[in-house]
Amino acid sequence: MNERVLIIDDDELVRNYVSRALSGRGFTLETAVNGSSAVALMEKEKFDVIICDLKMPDIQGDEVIKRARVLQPGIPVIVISGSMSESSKAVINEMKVEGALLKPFGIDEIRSLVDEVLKKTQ
Amino acid sequence: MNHKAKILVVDDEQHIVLMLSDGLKQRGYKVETAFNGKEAVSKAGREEFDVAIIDIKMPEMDGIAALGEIKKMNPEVEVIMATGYGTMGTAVESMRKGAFDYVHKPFELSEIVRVVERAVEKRRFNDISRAIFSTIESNDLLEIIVNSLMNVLKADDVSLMLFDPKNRLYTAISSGASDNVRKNTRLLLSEKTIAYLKENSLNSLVLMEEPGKDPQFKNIATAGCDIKFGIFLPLTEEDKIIGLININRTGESEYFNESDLQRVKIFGSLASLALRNAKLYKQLQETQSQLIQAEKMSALGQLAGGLAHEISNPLSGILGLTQLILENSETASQNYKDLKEIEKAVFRCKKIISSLLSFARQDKFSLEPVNINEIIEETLVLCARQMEVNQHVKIVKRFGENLPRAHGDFQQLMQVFLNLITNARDVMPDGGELTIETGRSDENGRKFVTAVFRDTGPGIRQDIIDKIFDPFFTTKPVGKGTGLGLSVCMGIVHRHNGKIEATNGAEKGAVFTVSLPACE
Ligand SMILES: Nc1ncnc2c1ncn2[C@@H]1O[C@H](COP(=O)(O)OP(=O)(O)OP(=O)(O)O)[C@@H](O)[C@H]1O
Repeated sequence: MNERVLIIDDDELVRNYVSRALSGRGFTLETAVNGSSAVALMEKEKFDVIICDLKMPDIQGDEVIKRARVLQPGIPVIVISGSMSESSKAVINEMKVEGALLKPFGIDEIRSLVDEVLKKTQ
Repeated sequence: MNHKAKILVVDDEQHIVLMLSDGLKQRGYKVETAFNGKEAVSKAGREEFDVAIIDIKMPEMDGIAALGEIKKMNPEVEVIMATGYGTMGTAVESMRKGAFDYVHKPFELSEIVRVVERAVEKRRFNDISRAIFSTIESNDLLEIIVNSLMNVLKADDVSLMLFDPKNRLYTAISSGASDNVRKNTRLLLSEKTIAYLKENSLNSLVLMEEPGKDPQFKNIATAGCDIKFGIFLPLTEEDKIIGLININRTGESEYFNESDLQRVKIFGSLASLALRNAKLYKQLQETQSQLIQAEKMSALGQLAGGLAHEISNPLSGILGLTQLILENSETASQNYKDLKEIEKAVFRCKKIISSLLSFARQDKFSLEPVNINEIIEETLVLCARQMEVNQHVKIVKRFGENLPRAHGDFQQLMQVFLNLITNARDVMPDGGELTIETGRSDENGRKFVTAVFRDTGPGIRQDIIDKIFDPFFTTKPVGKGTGLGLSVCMGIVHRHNGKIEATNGAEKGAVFTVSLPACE
């Protein structure tokens, strides 16, 4: 219990509802407003799962995931993306991420995916 | 081309000018005169002539220079040169500069009249062929061909027959043959002629004299056979007969003479060539509009991709927050119901975005040999039961047997068929019948596998039939239809290099035909 979740998305609206959907479920939640602050956070702290947008203004999602895998080997990743274009699909496949959701997604979808991913990596 | 030709006579010797101008006027030509090269050029600049007769040796500007100037202004005018001392040199030079012919001085009036007649005839042919070749609309073209033949050959009736897509001969246009009985006789005689030509592998012209009296045509309605003399001229493309022109004189008319036949032959090759041009032009236009369509699609694809991405975040927020409030609302409250509606609206938006994306999707998809019947069966598993039980729409399958496989993407084709089936369901709210027929077809040597969806709904209004494949075009009430169903279908079918067409059935209802390239 008390797993640490990092939510990375440049859109406040998305960060807001995702963290509220996950709050009260025994997680410690952190958010990052872009790729570089996410990387900075991961350099300081350990996380049990990261939820990461793909298209961000500074460092793109795939780069963030790569850095996460170096900084914290074996960390599960959930991608949340605005489109399932060829390039997004390629990232999801190449990075072998543990889960992916296409926006717009509901609160139940993100809750059950987080639970599932955490159960698998325990 | 019924007007009498207009002729310009140019010579510095007055008595020659007078002789020519009187002689030609008597024969019905319109004549203008000039006494030197300069005057001739300025006259030709002010009005148009069909033919000019120009003396070579004149003061100031000689005939050859005048010829050059006049041809520059009006290349269509046919020029006859009169050479005084008959040296071959000047004659050759004038021919090289575009003269029609030359005559030696001194000449007989009758001699020059014959040359003028030939020059006028050439003018006419040039004018007609120019009209023919500058006309690219097939229907106008046929009309020009038929009317010109009526005039040039002094015919009483002319018909032009072509083959329809099913290879049956039909009368494309006819002039002079007033009633249907007559038209039909001509068509039947033409059919016989073509059969005869094909049997003997000929494509030459056939002449008939009073076919009504000929026992071999006995069973062809003799009632309509008032033909005295008939010419049956096959039209060919690469030695294949593509149609026929029938030219007739009726009543107490004269027999066609040798020069008539000569003209008809020239006409035949002109007409064949022009029809071929018109066909090529039409193909070009089709290719062009396909290219434009493809370009539109690709622009729309980019737009859709961008739009989907931009809209997905706010939409995600609306959905998530709505659900969060829903969790804390009394299920019996009005707020709860309203929020449920908002949630539903978001799902609708999500569906719109995904069909927009699938319509415009640029990514590759996997083409493999697929069995069209199988895909339709699979699609029907999804929707047939519900349609038959809930909507009383009876589904009739007429599947072709042993069809070749098509190059296709199973999933995407299911999407196409599902859209067509649900559209049919939507236009038959009180029940009806949907017939799904599969088969094969051939087009320009390419083989296709086809699926035809025929419903018993109201059919497609003629004024919107061109628009129904446009993205967002819908006649459904606001909120009920996205207008993307058919554009998705078209996007997918085009990526298969196939075709999708909408027509109305003979009785009622709409007919949608999907054709996909067959394997092998
Ligand atoms: N079987 C049919 N008979 C008559 N009209 C049709 C038929 N199928 C389609 N149409 C016409 O074409 C229009 C466009 O169809 P399309 O499938 O693109 O969108 P839609 O059906 O209106 O919306 P949606 O795909 O969201 O259900 C329809 O609104 C209707 O007017």
